[in-house]
Amino acid sequence: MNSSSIAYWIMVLPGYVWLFLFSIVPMAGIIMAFEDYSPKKGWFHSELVGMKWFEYLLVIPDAKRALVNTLIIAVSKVVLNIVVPLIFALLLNEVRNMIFKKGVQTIVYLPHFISWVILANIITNMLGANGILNHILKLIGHEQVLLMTLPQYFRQLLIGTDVWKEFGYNAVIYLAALTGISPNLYEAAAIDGASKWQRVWHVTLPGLIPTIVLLTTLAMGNVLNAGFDQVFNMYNQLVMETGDIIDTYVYRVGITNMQFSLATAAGLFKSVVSFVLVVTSYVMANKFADYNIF
Amino acid sequence: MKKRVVSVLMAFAMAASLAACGSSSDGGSAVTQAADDDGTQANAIAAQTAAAETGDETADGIAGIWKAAADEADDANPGENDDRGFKKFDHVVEVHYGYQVDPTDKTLPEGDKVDDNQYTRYLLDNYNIKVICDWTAGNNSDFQQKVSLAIASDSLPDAVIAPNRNYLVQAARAGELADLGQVFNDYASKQVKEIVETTGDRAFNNGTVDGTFVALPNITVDTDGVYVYFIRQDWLDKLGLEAPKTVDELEEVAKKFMDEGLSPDYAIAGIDSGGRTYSNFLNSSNNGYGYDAVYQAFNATPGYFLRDDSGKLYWGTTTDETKAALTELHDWYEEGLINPEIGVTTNGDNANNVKNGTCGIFMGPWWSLGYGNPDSFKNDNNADWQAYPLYTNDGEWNIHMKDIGTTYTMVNANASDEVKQAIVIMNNVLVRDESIFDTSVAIAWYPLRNTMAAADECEYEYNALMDILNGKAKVEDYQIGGAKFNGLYKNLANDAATLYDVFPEGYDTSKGIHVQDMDVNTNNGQFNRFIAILDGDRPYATITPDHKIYSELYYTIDGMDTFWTTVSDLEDSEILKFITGARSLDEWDQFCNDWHVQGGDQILQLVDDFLAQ
Repeated sequence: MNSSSIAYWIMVLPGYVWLFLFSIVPMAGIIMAFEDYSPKKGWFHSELVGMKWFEYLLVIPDAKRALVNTLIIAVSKVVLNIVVPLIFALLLNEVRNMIFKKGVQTIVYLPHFISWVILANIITNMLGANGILNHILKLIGHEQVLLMTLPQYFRQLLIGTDVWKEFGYNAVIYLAALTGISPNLYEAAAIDGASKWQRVWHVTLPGLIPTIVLLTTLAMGNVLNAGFDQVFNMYNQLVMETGDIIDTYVYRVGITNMQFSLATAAGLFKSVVSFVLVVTSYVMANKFADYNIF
Repeated sequence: MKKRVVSVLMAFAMAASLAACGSSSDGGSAVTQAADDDGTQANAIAAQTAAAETGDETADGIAGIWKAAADEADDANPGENDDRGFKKFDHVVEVHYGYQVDPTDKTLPEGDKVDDNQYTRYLLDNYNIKVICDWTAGNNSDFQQKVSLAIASDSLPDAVIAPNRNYLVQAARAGELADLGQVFNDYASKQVKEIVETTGDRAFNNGTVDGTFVALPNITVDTDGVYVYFIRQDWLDKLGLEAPKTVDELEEVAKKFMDEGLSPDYAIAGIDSGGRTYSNFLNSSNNGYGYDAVYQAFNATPGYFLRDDSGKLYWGTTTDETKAALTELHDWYEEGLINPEIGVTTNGDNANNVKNGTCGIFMGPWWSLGYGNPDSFKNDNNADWQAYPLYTNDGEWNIHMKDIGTTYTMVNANASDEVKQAIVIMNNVLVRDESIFDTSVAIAWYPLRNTMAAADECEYEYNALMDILNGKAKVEDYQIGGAKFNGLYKNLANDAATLYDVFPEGYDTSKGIHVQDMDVNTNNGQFNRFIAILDGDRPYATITPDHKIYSELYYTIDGMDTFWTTVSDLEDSEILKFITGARSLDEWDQFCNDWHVQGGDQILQLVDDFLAQ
């Protein structure tokens, strides 16, 4: 460390303190997953039970169901949250009217700032018996449809609303990357007779590849994060079979039913899988796209 | 570099995702606590550990040292001190507590706080008890979460109210609770002792975990667990119908309500998201808007541990009777009689149509009328709700009996003797003086409010108040010093005194109690109470049930929790699906099988062994 870098170290210090206090220190708590945790005995004196809770997790149908739901919901969200903003950014990039462009960009950006607590209530009301959806259905003579009670549509609803909420925000990164592509390339392509579509395909997309790879790799860590805030606020007992994810399961087991060790085991399992996925995607990004994140 | 930092952060955040859940279980304090255990410092802990180990030896626990109410000297009059249950400490005693508050409450005057209001000042001025609220939570699930984490990290305040018995058992088994047997016997007022004794041994057993009396149990009226149905009598009269007795008759009336346009959306209200359609052994009472009355009419008692004729233990849900009840409920759902959004609505929206006068039937315990739907009467002075039992086709009325109470005042093992005394005294004061408090400030602001009422309070009051209305008794008879004054029924003096705020003089009770003839607004609080007691509790006060059904057990026992977590989750979601038709009742046997295989059989075995001891 030389004297010129000290200023930078001081700048990141608060971040490291935060990281240490809230992410490193609590890591010791994962020992709860391997013991029959009793609050009185504490972390260091509770009876060790080895892999008991993990073995138990494997036989609980609820846990399997939560894992499957988590994978389906989270993978869909990861894919769509990369693809939809990309398409949107490409479309918006072709718009020449600046007022319209900025207007659209601002409007689609807004939902990102609404908390799921509020949005979930708005959605529940819109799709409810007296909501706008059923008013419209009534007008066209269709019978009532209560979307929030139908397990077969609940995952699509979660994924759809999440993508709708976030695509404007996610598109910002692509829009930034698009401005970084040299206009000279477009001019050269145009002179060579490339059509508009060919320019997108041969100039714009290759220019965006590093950004896409980066976002994909970072998103891999989220493959088991299906979004606690959203699901917790939107689900109900009727859609449990398709809506219950690992995080809500851990909440119910750990906080509501006070099975601290079992909940910790479920959480740890999730973290380990996520960790493996992050490392794998890093290696793959390095190997196939020649891209170093670290 | 920036990307790199972001990535590092993300990776760590991911890896630590649940560990955050454990973050509040502070390792430091747990270690200190364990060290205390090794030493000899806290007598309370030692006594409790000993009690837990020896088990049977102290099984009499509090019952063994109990001095009967009849042998205690009379309590001081309301508002006065004595030197035992209402003593004033010679110096200020501080009691720290955690409490659930209602964030939408508007009754607390400007500037007052949860631990500085008319009730806390009353305690400070008269008893030198100063309460300090360490933390609050705004709703039920937040409060449960805080209690849960406080137990997990062994950081309970001096006193906190356990939302249900599971919290009590967890905290007691973790050795975090004080033995209250001696202090409760020494300082409980005569009135409180009388109430405790109306339950037989049940209140003692209820506050006892592994042989030690570790909590002041909440003692609620029996009728909190007696489910009846409520119907708009004015609609029945308009259509010229009799009040239904059986499920089939109720269905007929519900259809007519819809056909005649009185209930355009649905005829029968249901539960909110997170609710249950029946109360189970852990939450055996106060299931407002549940369908308990329907299950009972099919001789079904889901959610209870029962014994068949041969004495074999079984689970009340996985029975043919429950299936029959669910088949009926599913038919109702298909016909559009019950709220299509059952189990989906949130924040009390399930009650909207009852309030706005478009739904004329719902079910629940006595207080569902009046206390439970005050807006319904305010919005429509002709909303003549009446309560009736729902009989089986054989004409029998089954009621399912609740546990003594559902909540528990827990005291930290490290609390001093004075703090323990103060907590018992606070409870005495509330029981004795609630009727003289100005309750325009919600009584929920009383610190550590714990309901204690004689099991038959509502029925006794029903008879007493009807006597006054019928001219068989006078208001003065029930005032302090009056011929029929009985301190055990703590609200009766005030109720008698305010009866004519709500009823006109010379009210003719021969036609029943109807809202049209009462004054809803002058004393709305008492109006709601009278409607609840005189209409809501009329069935239980005047009709003798044919069967009273008790669960063999009302709490979870050691080793059962993990299985229970799994099967209760299964049960809660599947039952609702059977009603809405998301799952066909053809799969009922599969569901029963799943319940038993996924932990139900182990639970039944554990309970059977436990009860055999």
